[in-house]
Amino acid sequence: MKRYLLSAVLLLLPFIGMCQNAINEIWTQPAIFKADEQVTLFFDVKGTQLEAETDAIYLWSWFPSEPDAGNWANSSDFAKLTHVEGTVWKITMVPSDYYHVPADQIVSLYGLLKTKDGSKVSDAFAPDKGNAINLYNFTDIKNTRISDFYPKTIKGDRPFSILINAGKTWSDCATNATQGALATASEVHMHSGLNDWKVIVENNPANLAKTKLTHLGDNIYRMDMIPWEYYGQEIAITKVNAVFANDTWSKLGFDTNCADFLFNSTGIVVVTPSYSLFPQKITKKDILTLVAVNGDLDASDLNYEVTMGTTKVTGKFEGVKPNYRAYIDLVTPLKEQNVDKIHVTIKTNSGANLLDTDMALTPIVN
Amino acid sequence: MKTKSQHALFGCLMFLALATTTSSCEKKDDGSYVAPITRYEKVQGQWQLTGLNQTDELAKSTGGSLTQVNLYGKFNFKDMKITFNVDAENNPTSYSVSGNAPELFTKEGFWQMDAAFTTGKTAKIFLYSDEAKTQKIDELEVTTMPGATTNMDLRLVRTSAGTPFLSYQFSLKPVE
Repeated sequence: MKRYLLSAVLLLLPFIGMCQNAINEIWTQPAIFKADEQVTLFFDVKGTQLEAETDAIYLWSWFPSEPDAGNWANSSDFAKLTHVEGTVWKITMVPSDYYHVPADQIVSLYGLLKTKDGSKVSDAFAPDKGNAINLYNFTDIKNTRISDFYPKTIKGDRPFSILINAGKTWSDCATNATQGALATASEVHMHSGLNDWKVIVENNPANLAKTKLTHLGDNIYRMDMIPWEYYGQEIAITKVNAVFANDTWSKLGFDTNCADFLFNSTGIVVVTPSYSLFPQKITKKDILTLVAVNGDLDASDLNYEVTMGTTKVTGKFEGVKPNYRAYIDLVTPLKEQNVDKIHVTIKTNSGANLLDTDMALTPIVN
Repeated sequence: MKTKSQHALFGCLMFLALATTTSSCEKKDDGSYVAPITRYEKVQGQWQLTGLNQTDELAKSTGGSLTQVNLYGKFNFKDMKITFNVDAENNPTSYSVSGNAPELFTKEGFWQMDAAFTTGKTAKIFLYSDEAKTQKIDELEVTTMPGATTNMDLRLVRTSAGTPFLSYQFSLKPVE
């Protein structure tokens, strides 16, 4: 009986492996693209049968057409992906050319990845798997919306696109509110910042190439970036703030009511740093160091409050990611006070309580 | 019968004997007596802080990941100066700390050392609040005694039940 069971398990093993064959991550550059422009598709095959492949991986696609039809056992070179690093592969194409389908008929791309002979495959990227590559629908931005962005969860190391309709942006709100002045500009640039303008890339003469948006036609402009590269700081991105203008700022484009544009990231999991108090044991005549390491937050996101008897000191952390510190002088405020403990709290700018603790003071022995 | 050469040899020997006798009676000049330099002479004067590290002795002994923090650039420690005064006989009198840095040890009072001369152990500076030196307020170890080097390192140690749990290392250079 045991022998039969063992045989059954051994027979099922390959299928158990196939159950965990989904493509780990798919993204495109630019994040928003048209079917008749060049785009690079990125696939992370970690966890699939193709994870260990280093030689060649091929795209097998059947929607919106099946360009390599009939060649399952011997994929064509045009479908070959390029190895990026680790388990990440890419293929660059103009979808309308690759699929030989008119651009206005391409709304989504489905397929899977395979070895040349098809002996190893990944699961599909398709609607039923929830990971089809969907092209942006420009209907709303052309007709009703002023702006949009994708992906909605803004990741620092992944492509990110912002769209604006320059014909619908606002200017001169203080005098005679005007819509569409920016659409008459020969170029549109973005003046923007991360997380309430904490890190800013200015629209200035030195940054014109970097801040310039791509004109997609119909007054639609697009900014493409990888945020951590664009802003030069690897911080968790909760929002992107922006205003648009031409290169000389003579023509402006704001959001409704001339407000700054605000692109709020959703679903960002901000890793809070781990905290420690240095040293472990302290007296009222010492310096206390608050230590925060390995978090996504910026040092200026972290606020401390230390209560020492009747004295309360507050401030922000300092330092460079991932090591932030705050130095607290216990000596001066406690010189004329006798207390046996202090109280330390650390909060984010949004008020989240990260640390709330008492610290005992060791009596001084001379 | 003595030959001429025997006469010459005899003359030389007599001269040598006379010269040796004369020189052996001459008094040797070793110079006047100079007392050895005391630790007080080495420590006295004004010292400028050039470095300050705070060490968590507990973390150090238990293999903690963070054992030391550099405080030199914080709280005006860069402006801190310590002056150890002595009297005409180079005996320690008062001391003072200038600048606005936090008072890790009492900033003025009187000082004394554990011994005026080297004992083979780490030298200690005792700080007192009174001139009679009966009320000890703090204690500093001299971990680098000026001499071979012009600089001096002092260590302030916090203890609990005799066990060190925290220390500060002050690096100092003489103020010219």
